[in-house]
Amino acid sequence: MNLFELPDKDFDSRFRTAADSAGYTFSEEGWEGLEKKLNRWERFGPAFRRISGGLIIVLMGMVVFLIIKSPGAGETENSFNQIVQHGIIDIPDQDGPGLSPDQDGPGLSPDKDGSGLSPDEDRTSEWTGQPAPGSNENNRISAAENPVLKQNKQDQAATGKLNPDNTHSKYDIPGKNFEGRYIFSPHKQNYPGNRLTGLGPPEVRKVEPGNLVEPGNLVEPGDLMTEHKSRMLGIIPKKPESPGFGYSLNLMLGPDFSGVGANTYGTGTFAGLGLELYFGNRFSLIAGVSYARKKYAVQDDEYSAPSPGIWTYGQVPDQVDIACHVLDIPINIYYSIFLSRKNRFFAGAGLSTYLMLTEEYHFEYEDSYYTDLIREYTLKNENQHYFGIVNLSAGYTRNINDKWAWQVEPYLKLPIQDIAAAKVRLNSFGALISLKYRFR
Amino acid sequence: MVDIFENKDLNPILNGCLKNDRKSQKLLYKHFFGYAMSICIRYTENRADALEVLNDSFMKVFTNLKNFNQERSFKSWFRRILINTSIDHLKKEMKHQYLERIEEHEIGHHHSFADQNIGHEELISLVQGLSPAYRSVFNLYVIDGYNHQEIAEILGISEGTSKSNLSKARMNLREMLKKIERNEFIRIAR
Repeated sequence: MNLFELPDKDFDSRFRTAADSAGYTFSEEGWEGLEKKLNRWERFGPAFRRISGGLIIVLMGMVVFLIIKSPGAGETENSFNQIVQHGIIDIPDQDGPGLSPDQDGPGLSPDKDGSGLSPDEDRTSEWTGQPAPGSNENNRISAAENPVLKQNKQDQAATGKLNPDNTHSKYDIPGKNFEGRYIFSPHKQNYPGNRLTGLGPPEVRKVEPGNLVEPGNLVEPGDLMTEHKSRMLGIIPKKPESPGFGYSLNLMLGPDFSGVGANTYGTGTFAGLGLELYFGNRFSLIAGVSYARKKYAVQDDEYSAPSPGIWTYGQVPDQVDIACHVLDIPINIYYSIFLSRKNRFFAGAGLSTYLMLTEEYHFEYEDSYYTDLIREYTLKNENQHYFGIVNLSAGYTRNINDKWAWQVEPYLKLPIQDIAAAKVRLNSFGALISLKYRFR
Repeated sequence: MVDIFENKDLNPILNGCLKNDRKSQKLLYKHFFGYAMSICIRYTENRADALEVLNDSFMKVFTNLKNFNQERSFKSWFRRILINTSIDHLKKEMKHQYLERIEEHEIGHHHSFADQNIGHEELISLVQGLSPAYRSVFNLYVIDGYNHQEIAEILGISEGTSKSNLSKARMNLREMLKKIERNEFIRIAR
């Protein structure tokens, strides 16, 4: 029976046997090809991994910061509920129906029954016309368990001035003058938008003459308790001063890794000067001029002939080593993802124009019988790629003082055009270290 | 004959490879070249492509060897790498190539008339002549022992497509064999 007439099972079996029996001898040529790949990998692979790893760590760090710094909606609401229920703080307020002492508001009274709730807790519902969220029995927290009350008691113990009748928290300290200093005030006036209390939003107020002051509510610079309470009150921490409109001069320097594909990245340099314009708190625009030296190698179908007829006898090089001197003119927009007085994490994107100053090609022929092949080729100012490269970056800025800052910025440059005479899809990555001088 | 594939003697070579020792790497390459080529050649269209896939697979071995548990079979681990790399290559090939009609495939003149005389390498070259879609399913199912569900997952196709491609692959191979027979008959008649 012919093979093509066999039933499927036997037919398959013949091919299986053939696959198992076919013998192939070792190829020295194959090993040489692999050895070259291994050499390239050992030269550039670890650098590629380190930079991309660094970039990932920076991005992850930014995400972690964002998660830590943004309070959850539920957290704010619960904190505020606790404040309302337990009357953590209050100060006299003559402008509105706040929890002034003469109204017997739920001040800072450590409750007598240890339930964590003051006897006046239900006044909250009087103000809003609805039960205070979380004011049912199940939500009661004992004073011993309630960190807020515990802290409150500690505060009072520290001042040595416990409320004599334990009915409210307002007390004065004879002989102490807090006039002109700042305290927290949870609510100032009717504020219909506040669905929890119907009272105004918490605020930081200046102590006026005649105000009763609880020392625990005094705003002390660097006072962690104060900061904690401000968070509990839902007071948004004061944002760093908006830079508004301004500009800075950035001096940039860093390594540049360029290549095509995965295994041909060479190390070059990147140096430049940029002008960064700030728009409000979050956005900035940077434009500048940078010089980059890019070295890389290409093989097979990764490149085209840089000049027609350059392959003598039709012999194509096995590898082309390329070194380019490039003027990189970037226009990038940065967005500050996290911003504080000293630190900034940002992400940026934009486009670059490459002006190819020089392109140096070195052609490598292996086992060629011809001795007169062109092996070197140089081009000057031949190619320009306007907005031909996409820039992506993320980084961190640290303010040294009002004027100076340093910045580290891992970046990735991806081509949207074929680059240079060899028409390569030239990728670059690296990390820029910048020194910034702010003019305003 | 000592089978180094399963022998503990392989561990010193692997340890050398872990230290990027070229001699150990070459030794490993030499030992496994025939085995690796017998897999890669079936999934690719020609020997040059097979060599490329083979070298890519070895690169994966050398750069990921630290993840390999030496108490397990190196051969099985390597086989998986070879097949995965071959499939990746085939997927790329499929992107650039439409299904090739069986009539357009030129059968070499070196095949003998009687089927029992067709050599193993000739049979494999017939598999290489299949379109990438048929070749991948035929190899995975018939030779490498995957079932249709696994093939569907690997190739990102439905089980029905896998079965259909297998059936068409067999049909194409039978057609090729018939064509060989016809050509051989004509040659002998002349």
